[in-house]
Amino acid sequence: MRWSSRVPGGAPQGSLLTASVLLPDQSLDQSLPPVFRKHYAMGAVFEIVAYGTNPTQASQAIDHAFQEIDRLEQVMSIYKPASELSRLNRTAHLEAQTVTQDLYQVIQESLHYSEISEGEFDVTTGPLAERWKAVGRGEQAPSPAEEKRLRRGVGYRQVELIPPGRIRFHSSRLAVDLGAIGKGYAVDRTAAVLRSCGIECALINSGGSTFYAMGCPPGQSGWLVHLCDPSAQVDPHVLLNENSVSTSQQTPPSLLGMPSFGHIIDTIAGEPLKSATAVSVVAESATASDALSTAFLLMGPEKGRDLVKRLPNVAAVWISPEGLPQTVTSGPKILMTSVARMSSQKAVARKLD
Amino acid sequence: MDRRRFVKSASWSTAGLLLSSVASKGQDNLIRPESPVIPQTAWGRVWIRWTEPALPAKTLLAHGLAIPWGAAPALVESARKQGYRVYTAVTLEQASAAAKSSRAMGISGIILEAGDSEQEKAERTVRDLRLAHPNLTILTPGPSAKQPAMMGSSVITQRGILQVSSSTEQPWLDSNLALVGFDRAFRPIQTPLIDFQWELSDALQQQQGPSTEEYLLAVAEAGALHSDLILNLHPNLEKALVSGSDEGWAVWERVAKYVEFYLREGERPVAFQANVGVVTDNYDTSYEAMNLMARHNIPFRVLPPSHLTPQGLQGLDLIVVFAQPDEAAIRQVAGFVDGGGVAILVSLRGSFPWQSSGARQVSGDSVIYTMGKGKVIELTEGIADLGTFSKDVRRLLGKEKLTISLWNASTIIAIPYQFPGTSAATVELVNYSADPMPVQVRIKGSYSVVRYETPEHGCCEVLTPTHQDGFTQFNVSWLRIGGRVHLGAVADTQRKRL
Repeated sequence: MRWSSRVPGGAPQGSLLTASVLLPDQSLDQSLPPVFRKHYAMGAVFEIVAYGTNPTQASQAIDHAFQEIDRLEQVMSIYKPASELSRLNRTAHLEAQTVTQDLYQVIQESLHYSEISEGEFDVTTGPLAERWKAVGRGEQAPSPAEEKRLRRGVGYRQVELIPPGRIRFHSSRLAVDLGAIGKGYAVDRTAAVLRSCGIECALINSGGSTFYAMGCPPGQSGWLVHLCDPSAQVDPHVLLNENSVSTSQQTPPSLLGMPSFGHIIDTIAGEPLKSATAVSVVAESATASDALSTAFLLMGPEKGRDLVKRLPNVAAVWISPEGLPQTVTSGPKILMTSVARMSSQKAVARKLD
Repeated sequence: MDRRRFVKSASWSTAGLLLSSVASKGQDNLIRPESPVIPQTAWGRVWIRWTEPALPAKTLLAHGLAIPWGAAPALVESARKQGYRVYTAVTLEQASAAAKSSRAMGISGIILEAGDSEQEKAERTVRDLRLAHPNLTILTPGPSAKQPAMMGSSVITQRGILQVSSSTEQPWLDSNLALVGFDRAFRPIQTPLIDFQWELSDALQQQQGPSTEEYLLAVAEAGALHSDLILNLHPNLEKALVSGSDEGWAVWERVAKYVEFYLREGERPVAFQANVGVVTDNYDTSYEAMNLMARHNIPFRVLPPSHLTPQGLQGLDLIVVFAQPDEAAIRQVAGFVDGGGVAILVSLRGSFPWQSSGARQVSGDSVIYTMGKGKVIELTEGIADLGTFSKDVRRLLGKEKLTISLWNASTIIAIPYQFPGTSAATVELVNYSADPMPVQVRIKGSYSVVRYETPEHGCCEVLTPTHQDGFTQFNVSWLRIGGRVHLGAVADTQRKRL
């Protein structure tokens, strides 16, 4: 019989860690195997690794968690015409709409991050992003007049929250796109569902861009997540435990010399951000890390540094392709490894595989 | 950082070396010019690898059983009595003895299982066996087949799960499309045969075996690629089938529906619809680009370097060249570009005619030469980002030359075929996520009749097409894993049933 007998053993390669900032969790049975599952939703693959009192319990909890993600996709998707957000985008400029608690809360949080980032993070840039996507497909770039018109339809201040659960748009051109925060919100809700199913130790990964760690694997002091490093020189990594990390980076440019326009819109310039820097942000919730990673990418390290210092338990790292990491923290640690050490890690990982 | 590339590359290198050596030794009997019509008589056949000492009382729908060499003769006899074609799975060392005993044992054929590092020896063994036993069917699975799967960003290693953050990534699909294309180019005498090991991610899955959806995806992918499959059943499922368990048979009945769905189509000659060529003699160096082009629904055909001829290039709009071209091949590439084609050269060194005569533009790691009606793009440092590369290829082709486009379908691969001599076509759809979803399809050509069938719902739902600029567009309302779209003109429908 031709079988693969891979035996995962929790977080990878303890030998790769350069530092340990948390105490090992002794409460879980160290012989318990984790359960790993993946599920496609919101245009990305959600992956969950969970330890339960037994694998069947963990597996069932993950099933419930995936159902929650599917439910939230029906709330937040802009690609599903029947979603709650699509309906809101069609009608909220006509009159205030009553929305579910989920949609109200995620838009409320979006506006909070817009406020604290002074408008750099803005979930109302959808129409601009769509227009530039069309340019990428070969259409003409918007004329100054068209750009002006598009930008008039953009602005988080044109979204009005009417507690406890109604939303009104003050522009007929406004459309909310939760692409920069929705997956983070879904990850937080997923963690809540896992907890309600009795799971205390799990790692949730949404499309590679947002991770949330519940507890830590048996015998480990946290969940190790390597962070995006466009320089391939510093191997930033974090140990997560009851917190989250998200990474944002502009869509890479064409390899074949064609005009490229990334998906992240610089709200001030009104056009796609031109930057190859990757930003990773550690925060207490996935909603926060998801929103802040986009905000900090747009703000840059100078403005971003001030904001990090005002927020509790947040850390951020900006890494350019040239490999000059800029880190700032109000609590969590982002660890780095030298190039030489990284090479030896790769050799270890290669042996492992 | 792409950990997947890092993790997987070691296992592909030997296959690449082997195929490289096959090509360089000029074994012309193994390499035929690529024909637009797939030169095979049957596909969609499924062999079930059977390891239990007893068989189920009820016969499983399958082309045959693959039973290990050395299994009890009573098992072979019992399988034959149930009407199975019995094939014996052998190692290189066992092959000769198995071939000699096959007739006496009533064995229909042998399946030669060689490791990646034994492929060259395996080819020699097959040649020798075919000479010595001309009536014996000898099947050789393609090397490096893998479990078809939707992948996330986590990499499972022997010691744990490696997590690397990135900007949001769309699903990575591990498909066998590249392998089948390669097999078809280099071993055209045999229908590609897929045989892979299940990658069961955790202890629970290892204990329980693949999900029903994973079995279905394996059958659907092989069928959609017009290939054959050796399906490994988990020991638990084999035992359940032998014991007559309702649960086990419920799983099998779903799998059997898929087997039947692809088997009944597997006799008609078809032509794979592709306008992109991948010129390569090394699977290892070209695999990832091919896998990503498949993922982005860019139908391609593999061209051995010797097929860089006007005939080989016929119907192509773009070629991606991984193999170092000789002088004759360079002339062919230049002629192709001059006539309006686009050639992308990946990490190739040398001096080429377009470098002196064409207009030159440098952009990042690429140098672009305009020549005649087309252009050459030299990627001097290889393909830095495969996803971006595939999207670039689609943009280079332009809307009017894209064979097929899907919307809301980043976990779906579409494989278009045409029936020679008619205006009819089919599109095989495979959803690697197994979550039912609607798909919007746009395909080159004007088709007035569009019908859709699935293993679950049978044949056929009539879809309403719209037409624009020489393309047909339609919506498939529900695709779980496998589905097939029949396209034709009214005249075709009248002439014969699609």
